[in-house]
Amino acid sequence: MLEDRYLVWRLKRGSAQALCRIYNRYESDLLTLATNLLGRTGQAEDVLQDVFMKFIESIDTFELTGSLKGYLAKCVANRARDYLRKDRGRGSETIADCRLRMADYGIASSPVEAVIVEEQKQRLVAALAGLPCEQREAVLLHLQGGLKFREIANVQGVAAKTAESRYRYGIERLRSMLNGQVET
Amino acid sequence: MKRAREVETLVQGLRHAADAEMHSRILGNLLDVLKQGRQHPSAGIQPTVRRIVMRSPITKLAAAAVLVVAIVLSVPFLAPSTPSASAAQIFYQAAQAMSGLKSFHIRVEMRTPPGDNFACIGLNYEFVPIDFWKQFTDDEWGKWRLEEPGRVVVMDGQQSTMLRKGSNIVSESVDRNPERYWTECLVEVNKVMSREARKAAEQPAQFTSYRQPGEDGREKMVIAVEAPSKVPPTDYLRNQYIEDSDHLTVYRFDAETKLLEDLQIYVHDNGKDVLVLRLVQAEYNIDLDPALFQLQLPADVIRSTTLTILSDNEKYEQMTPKEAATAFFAACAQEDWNELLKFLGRTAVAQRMKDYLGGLEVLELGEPFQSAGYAGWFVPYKIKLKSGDIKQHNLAVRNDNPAHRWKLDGGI
Repeated sequence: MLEDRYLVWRLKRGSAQALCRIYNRYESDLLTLATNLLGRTGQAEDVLQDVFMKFIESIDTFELTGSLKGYLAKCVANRARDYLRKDRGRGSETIADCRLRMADYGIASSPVEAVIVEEQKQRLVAALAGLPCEQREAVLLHLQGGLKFREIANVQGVAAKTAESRYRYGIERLRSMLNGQVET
Repeated sequence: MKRAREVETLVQGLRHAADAEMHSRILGNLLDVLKQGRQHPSAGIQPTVRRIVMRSPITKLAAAAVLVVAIVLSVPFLAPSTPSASAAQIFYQAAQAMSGLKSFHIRVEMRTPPGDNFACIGLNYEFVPIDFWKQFTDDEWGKWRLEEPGRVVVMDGQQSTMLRKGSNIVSESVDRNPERYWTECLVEVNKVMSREARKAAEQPAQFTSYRQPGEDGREKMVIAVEAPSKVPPTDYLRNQYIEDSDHLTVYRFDAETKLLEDLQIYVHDNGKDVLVLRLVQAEYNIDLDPALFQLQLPADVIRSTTLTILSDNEKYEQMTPKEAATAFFAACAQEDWNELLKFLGRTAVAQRMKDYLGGLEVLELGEPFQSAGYAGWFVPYKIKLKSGDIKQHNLAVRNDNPAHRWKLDGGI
């Protein structure tokens, strides 16, 4: 996006306005990505803040070569991995334990529909939690981070074909779980 | 049974929103870090370098000499007008390149009502396509056509004719250099570039420019222009026109041909940037069908005319804006179309207008108000149409015409 380049250019010159614009533009997408990768809101907030802090600290040497959202999404994925590594073995809350707000997922026209939508959402959250970490990452980075498979491959340190396979397996597994063919 | 595509859609829709407290907290922290970073730039590196350099008096002298030379050499590059000076140069080159064209076709999409004046915007409106065709001729003006779904304007080289497609209302003008809204100016894109070049030289702080590689492998030049709104934040017209909004215009030119390749305009509104105009197609030096510059008018056109002085003109001259609105709606309510014509400046009242406004009932008429961006007045109204629909809006009236009578200028 043309304006992203301009905003980065201004941020390099210390513009607080440019920072606000970048943050406002990508906060929601990146928080969504972090929350779905980690499964907990508190840590997702920390990841979001860490990523932007690093971004500001390195802005003088930063060169935007692709999309800014894609770059920040990669940073979120890397930082989320650090958090997940730290949490390994601590028996912390799973993604399925995370309760999500109805307002985040859609507008229900009636209380009955609201319950159905919430139930669907919880099933999806649980299904995502049931995916192997690499598949979940590939699915979320592609669908929510807007990354191409070669970019995901770069984040995961694998070949583009492998990233694409992880994505396909992930989607297929989600489909099976949501259709009730596999226990989560 | 869910399909893969449905699963992908579900995942895309799984959103988490930040609450206001978290948003302010994180953004506040980030702004603090940015501020500190600017106060102590590269704090980890600079003191070390300074300590090493300043250890001996000879080094100090040498460093001072280097510093003086460096400052002298860098003055042309460090001058505050550097980015904009190059912006001015780019615009100037673009203006020259576009003056040498044979023809062009530019299509933009703008958030505007499909039959409006090519200029009114709404941040929540859908994008509407607007086409500009221009055939340069030996004289300065050339021939052009400007078209959106509900309206078309054609300059055939002698006069411009505007047709409102639904109502058959036609306005003709031989004024070849009328005051135009921003969007309309694109028919003279080379002049837009000249104007921006002048502004870039005069107001350098509003312009930034940089180079970037294009997807086609060619180098591109991008210029971003910040422009403040011409009206205050609480003004009625705020964000209803590009000029009446705080906005950012981003131009992209091919570095070699200097021709405009991309254009985007964002309105800044409550911390958000809303894209209101985007260029979707730009073709240069193409063969254009001569028929584009001939407008086939329907047989039953209604022409816009200048308001002439009436025998009882004084009665209308003395009206206040509210009285004019009252008289306008009374004429509609009584279906007195001859009376209504006195407020329209047209050869007849369009059937569509008669059907829409005839027999209306005025429910409320508010106190007139003005906008810093408009020479007339707005009169708030609430009416009940013959169809039973209730309409609430502001009637725009102005009397800056030779007859000094109030004329309907919008808001219906």
